[in-house]
Amino acid sequence: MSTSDGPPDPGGTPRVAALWVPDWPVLAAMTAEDVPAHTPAAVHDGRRVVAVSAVARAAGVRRGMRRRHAQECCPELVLLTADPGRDARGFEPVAAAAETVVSGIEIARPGLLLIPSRGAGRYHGSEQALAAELVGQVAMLAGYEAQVGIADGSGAAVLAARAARIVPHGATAAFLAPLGIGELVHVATQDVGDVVGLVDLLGRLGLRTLGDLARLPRSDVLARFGRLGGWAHQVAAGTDDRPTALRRLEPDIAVEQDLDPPVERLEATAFAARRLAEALHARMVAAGAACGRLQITARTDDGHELVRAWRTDAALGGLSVARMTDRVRWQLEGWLTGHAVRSAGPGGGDPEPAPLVRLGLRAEEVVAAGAEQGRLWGEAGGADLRAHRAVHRIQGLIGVEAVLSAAVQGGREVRDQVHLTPWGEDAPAVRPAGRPWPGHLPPPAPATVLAEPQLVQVCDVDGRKVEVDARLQVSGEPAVLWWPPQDGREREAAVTGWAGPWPVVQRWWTDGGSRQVYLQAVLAGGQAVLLALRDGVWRLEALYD
Amino acid sequence: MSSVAVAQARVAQARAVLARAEERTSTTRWVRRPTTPTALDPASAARVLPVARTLAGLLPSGALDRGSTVVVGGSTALVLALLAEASRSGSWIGLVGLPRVGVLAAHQLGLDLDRVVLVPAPGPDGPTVVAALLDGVDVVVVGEAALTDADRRRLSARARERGAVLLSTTFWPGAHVVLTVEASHWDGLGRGNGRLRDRRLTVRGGGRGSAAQGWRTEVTLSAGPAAHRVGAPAAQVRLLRSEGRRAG
Repeated sequence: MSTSDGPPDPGGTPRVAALWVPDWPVLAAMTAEDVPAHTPAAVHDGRRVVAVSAVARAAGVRRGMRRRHAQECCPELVLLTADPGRDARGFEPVAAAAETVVSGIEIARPGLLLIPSRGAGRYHGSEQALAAELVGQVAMLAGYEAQVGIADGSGAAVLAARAARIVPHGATAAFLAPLGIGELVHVATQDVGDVVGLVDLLGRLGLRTLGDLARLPRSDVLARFGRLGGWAHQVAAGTDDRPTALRRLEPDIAVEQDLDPPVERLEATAFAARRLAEALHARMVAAGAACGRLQITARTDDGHELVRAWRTDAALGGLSVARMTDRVRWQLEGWLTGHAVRSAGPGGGDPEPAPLVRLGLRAEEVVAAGAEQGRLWGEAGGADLRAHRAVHRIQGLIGVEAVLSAAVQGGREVRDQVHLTPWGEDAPAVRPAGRPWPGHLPPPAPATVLAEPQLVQVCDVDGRKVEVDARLQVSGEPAVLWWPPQDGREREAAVTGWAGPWPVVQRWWTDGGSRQVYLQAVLAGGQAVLLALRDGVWRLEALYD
Repeated sequence: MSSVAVAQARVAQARAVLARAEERTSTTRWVRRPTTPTALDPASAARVLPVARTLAGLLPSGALDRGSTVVVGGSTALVLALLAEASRSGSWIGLVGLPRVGVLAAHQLGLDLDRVVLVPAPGPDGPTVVAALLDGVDVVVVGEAALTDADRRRLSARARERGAVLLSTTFWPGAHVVLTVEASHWDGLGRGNGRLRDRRLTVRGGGRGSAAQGWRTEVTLSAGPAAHRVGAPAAQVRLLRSEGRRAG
């Protein structure tokens, strides 16, 4: 998931409306404590004032003041204690009022609502109409005065709400550029302390406005200030709120039941299975989920654990209670009668049929129901989701590091141009791929790249080793490729065609520098190979097979 | 000349005769043109994974049948080239037990690396890993993995059941199609000049069922200067257009 520095494409930029109730903590506290609106009030957290009502602000009280200082400014000030729970509870009527106008609201923090406004704006006629409707409904139903701002991206929308402006589409960058860098603090919904520190640092570095920050290259900001800096840059450039990669796996859903007395007869287990299946089904329905596998676990009287997983096809309607019961019953039938017994214990071997003392059902690979809607023709949809689930399952089996995803990156040598990362890890490529990289080997690339280059010898017609001098003159025409003896056998092949030598001298100014010459050669059997001469030794690097 | 080429030549000849006859009787306007042979109805298109036109002659049905097991021996590049078209059209590909596969070559041949999963060393869990991948991805390529013959038969059955394609680079009992590279010839390399460019492969085909009688085909794998770009090479697109005109 790469994020570009350029302006956001008009189709993908989310229009976001932010509804902001100014001084929310103090308003909520005043409502809860029945403080009249004309009394100056402030909320303090035991150390400093964190929110100030409009009346108190007019009297000179500011955020960040100490209690004594605030009371000095305004002796009749009512100081209320901070309570995040009260703020959140009190905000619910505001959210409900906003929900009468639009659906799909998101509470960023108490006092601030984010609303996707593209569809809502169309529905209400215009974004102005939407804003007026929101403000009116909140005032009428909840009794608070709110401000609405609309812009591209949620950070810009929050700042627009503070200015009570509707920023036209595409003008977000121009709106943000003159704003002070300190405005970032108002956008932050978490890690506010870190953001304050970042703003302080940016200010000391001479970045006074959001425009200054947005003009810097994204990668440099990310490298210098880390994740938080990257976020700040996105907000400043008006490109935040890109949809994130969907890589969420739901937790497994499990139910278990002790069987007391131990169950020996099949008929008795069927009842237990039915109850468990009903319980699991109810929980899955409550979670709105379907599962990819159903794991049945049973513990026998003599301490063996029997585990078996059934694959279920969500595309075929998932598992109903009856089908789940059937599967459990079949499985128990097998176990209790001693057929098809498989032990999950480390000892292996088939345990003797024994009464069951515990039965468990676990729904694995849980996905939201509806994600695997079958097509009219062909297989179920959601191929990407299925593939991700399979990969996660394999990572669970053999380790996260054993499953890799590949990407092409810049570089000159064959191995340098490939970027392998454990699946799911979002490590960006080290070198950009779009650059020319002069000196890289021409296509086609070899289809087999040896993990460890093989030591070989390239000889000319007289049997002497082929040398390449500093002026890239070969001492003789390569005629024979010779492998040193392996298992008592040595191998050689005639060279029927060759090209090169192509020098690749890299990073000679560092410790990790390398200089080598490459040679492409076709052997007598029609096989083509890539040879490298490094430190006076020929190596077989790759096969064009 | 191979049997496929002979058949194509005869089709072209028959079309030419038909066109002459139509011209003579001026029935051209009433004759409904046949659709292009590549256009498949949606139901059968879902049963196969497409391969590049230049390689279609290698496979009995002209594409990779879902649920089939294919063995490709002797050339990693041919394996990757066979998968390129399917990958481009959205299929997922798993490479199991191929620690030496050239990812760069895969990219240049047209595979979409976003949908490629690499399991270089499955270890003793090879059968489970391949089975799990068959559940999730469309093509699983199996190289060196610790599999018994019984495992292989079970995995073939799994692939048939899940509608995935199992492609092995080593011997596989009961494979539907077996492709073996008999000879390979490289163009473009002189003695001290040029570079590797195009490659002609002579491939022997065989297998089970309709593929049992065996055939021999010559294909060209090329990676021109345009191969760096993802998408069909320009030459191939031109070829498609000219053929379409001839057919219409």
